[in-house]
Amino acid sequence: MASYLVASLVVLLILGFPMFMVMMVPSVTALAFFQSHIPIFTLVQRMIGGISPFPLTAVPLFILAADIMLKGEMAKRLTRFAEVLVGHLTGGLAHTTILASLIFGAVSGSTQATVAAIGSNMYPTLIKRGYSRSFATALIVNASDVSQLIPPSIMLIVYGVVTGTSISSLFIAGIIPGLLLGLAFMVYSWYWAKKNNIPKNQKPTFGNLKQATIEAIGPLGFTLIIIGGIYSGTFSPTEAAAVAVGYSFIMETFVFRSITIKDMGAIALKSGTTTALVFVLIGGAEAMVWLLTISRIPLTVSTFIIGLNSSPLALLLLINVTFFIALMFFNPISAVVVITPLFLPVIKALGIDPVHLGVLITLNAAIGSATPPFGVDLFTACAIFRLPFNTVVKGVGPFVICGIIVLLVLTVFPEMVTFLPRLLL
Amino acid sequence: KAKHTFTLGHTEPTNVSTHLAALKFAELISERTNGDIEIVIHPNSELGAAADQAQMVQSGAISMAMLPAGHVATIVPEVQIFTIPFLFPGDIHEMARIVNGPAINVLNKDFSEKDIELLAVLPHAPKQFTSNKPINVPADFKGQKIRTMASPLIVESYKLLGATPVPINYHEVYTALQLGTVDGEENPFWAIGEMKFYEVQKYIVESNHAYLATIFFMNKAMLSGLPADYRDIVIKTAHEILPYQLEAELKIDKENEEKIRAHKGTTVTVLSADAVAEFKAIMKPVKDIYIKMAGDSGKEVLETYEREMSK
Amino acid sequence: MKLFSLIDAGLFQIEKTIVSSCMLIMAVILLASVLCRHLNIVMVGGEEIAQFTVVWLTFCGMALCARQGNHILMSAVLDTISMEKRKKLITGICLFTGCFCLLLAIYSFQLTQSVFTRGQVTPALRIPIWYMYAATPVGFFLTGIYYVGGFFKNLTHKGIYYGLEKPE
Ligand code: NA
Ligand code: NA
Repeated sequence: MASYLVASLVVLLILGFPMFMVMMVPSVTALAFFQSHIPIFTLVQRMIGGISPFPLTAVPLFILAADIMLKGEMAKRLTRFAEVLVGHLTGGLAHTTILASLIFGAVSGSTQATVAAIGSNMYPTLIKRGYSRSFATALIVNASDVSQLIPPSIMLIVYGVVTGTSISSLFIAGIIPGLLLGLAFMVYSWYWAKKNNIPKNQKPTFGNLKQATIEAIGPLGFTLIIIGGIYSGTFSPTEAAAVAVGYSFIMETFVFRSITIKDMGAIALKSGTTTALVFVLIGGAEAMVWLLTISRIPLTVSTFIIGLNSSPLALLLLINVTFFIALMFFNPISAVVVITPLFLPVIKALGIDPVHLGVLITLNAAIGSATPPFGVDLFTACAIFRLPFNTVVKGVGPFVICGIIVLLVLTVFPEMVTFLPRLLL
Repeated sequence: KAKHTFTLGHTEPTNVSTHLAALKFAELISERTNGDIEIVIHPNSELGAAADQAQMVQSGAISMAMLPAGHVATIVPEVQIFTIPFLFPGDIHEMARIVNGPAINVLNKDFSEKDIELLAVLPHAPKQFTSNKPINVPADFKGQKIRTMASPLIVESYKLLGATPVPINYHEVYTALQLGTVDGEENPFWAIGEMKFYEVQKYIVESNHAYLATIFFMNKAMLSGLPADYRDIVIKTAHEILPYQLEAELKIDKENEEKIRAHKGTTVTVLSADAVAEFKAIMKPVKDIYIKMAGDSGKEVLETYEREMSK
Repeated sequence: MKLFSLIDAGLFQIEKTIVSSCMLIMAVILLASVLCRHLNIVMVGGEEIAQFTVVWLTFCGMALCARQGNHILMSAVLDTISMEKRKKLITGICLFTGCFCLLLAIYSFQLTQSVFTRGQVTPALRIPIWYMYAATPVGFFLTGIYYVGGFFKNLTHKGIYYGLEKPE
């Protein structure tokens, strides 16, 4: 059945079928042929199940907040500020994108929400400053990876629960790898900007800086309120998305008077359509994952790998490869829930620290959200920027390589992950 | 090769007694039917959220499931009886005996109408209150934000105490407690320990005030489609796994209780008998709310259980 | 024919209204629940309403995207072949996708019916969940219709229709 699934999927993908069909046609036909006792409508139920987890609500709401800011004043002011601040450095704007994603992703905990919120603000400026479309989207998509590693992270929580590992240890362990990943992206961006001769701004005068800062106080307050609100417990990361909508709406309508209440219908329609494009695919992926799970395919694969009787390091590398491949298709949370428990007994038997494994898997999941064919962040970028899938995928390669390098370094040197929690807890 | 393959889904990690009960069930069934019936277990919400899995058992997409009572109540509202505080005895063995006694047949009538068969009720260790302010009497709950499951009876119970119940997803509770989004929550010691809630809570009150119950049920047509002798084996075995489940449950609960007591910065106290009486008096109306929600059949279930308990 | 385009325009308006109001309701409900918690007002079920809006938004939005022909697809191969071949391929894809979605609409209807007859409700608000599931037959039916419409447009009109309307 697995080979039928993969084969039919590849054919539909290459022919250029809409992506939701690429997921649903193989799943529905495979269920009908190989598991005929299961009602086919179960796959429609899984589509609903895939999109209804509450934390996902943050995605449409951050998209909406971003659309309000784009239609109004805030996005312009924010990017002007970023430009003045670091525009004179090589790859300055790219660094800004990475830093903004790191801060924002850290609090929202969702890579898609980060793509939506930071990406829609930074993308137009990046293009205007001479960055290519595929570099800009790849940068945005990958910079969001960091959000999975910097606490609070939904992925780390899920891993902690599934494996019974201390969530606070996991949170602390994620910090260094998260920063490392951000750094790797910055190095590549610096190189890319240098090679492509992205023009630098003149060093800003104090007057310029002052004016841009004053203009940006409102929009920057947005970041402060969101981050402050989450870390003070005023609202949850998911609710923060709704607060973001409220804040940008009030600022744009009443402070900047750049949009009216009447505009909200059209803005919500745009954000809603973007959301639907992505969520249909999240639902479709869940349907496929369910079929694989009920057919015990993940179990077969893990039994085979464990049967190879390899050393701890080799096993970790094999697990990395398994996750890397699985995450091209699975959504990250399903992958952790379905695959991790299969390896857990052998991990424990070999004396591998579950905190170490958790961070590796989470990093894998983050990279996987940007790997074709089914990278959820890629879809988000396609939907938000209305770009063809190929354009978005084109520039992703070097970033994924950066991610893999960090992953390998962390695999070989577990201390880089485990030393901070040991020091602090 | 097995003649019948049944899928069993549940939503707990593999170290929770639910999973151990499922494993024991699969082992005993295979043994007793000479391998004719194979049970394939999917833990960890692999097959979907609890309410989705309940629906799958109804439609026959999966064969059986072990799910929290609160979610099964989305299909069979009468099941909410297990979430009523201070109704069942504080001793878990006693609780298990009563809920699986003759009264279970009354409850099963409500399951049968929904294309499912109730096999057994697996109780977990009783729940305790946790908070950042000491809780000795019901009045201490006034104005506190307490995380609860999204179950109407539990929400009503906390409203009666003057607290603000806030339903939050189980996986987000740790962060919510840490950041102070909510002040407290309720869970058995093992859950408080496994989820590390004690790291972010100052006080734990041993209140044994209510139960989490796992409902073990099966698709009706699949059960009745089995030969009579195999059907009996399935029904009997579902009850015989109870002692194993309880043993595992108490062991993990005790271990976590000790771990929590040894943790500096967490104070564990016991609710006094007077306070218990006070809580009971205040929470009494929950029963009426239950009857209002679960109707005449709910009333019948409640009366049957109360009769069993007074014996 | 006039009646047909009237229905078509009406549907379009309804879909747009559902998608945009679901977005706005979601934001308002979550803001309200933050506010209520801070005022110590008990508000349960915000999550459940948010779920309902997400599901309706997704499936109605799916139809809207089918109408506008902007579903995400991988066009690497499409881009390399001649316009003529591409048009043929897209015409076939539209027909297949349309029929498949109509088939899924039937399964979705069965699902909704099964949930309806068994009366499952949400945990906190006790709202029947078939209200949510009903989004799937509606969404797949409209998506199917629009792709079949796109197929006919491709047969009768110049240019390539990825959905009912010509993109750009
Ligand atoms: Na994060
Ligand atoms: Na990403």
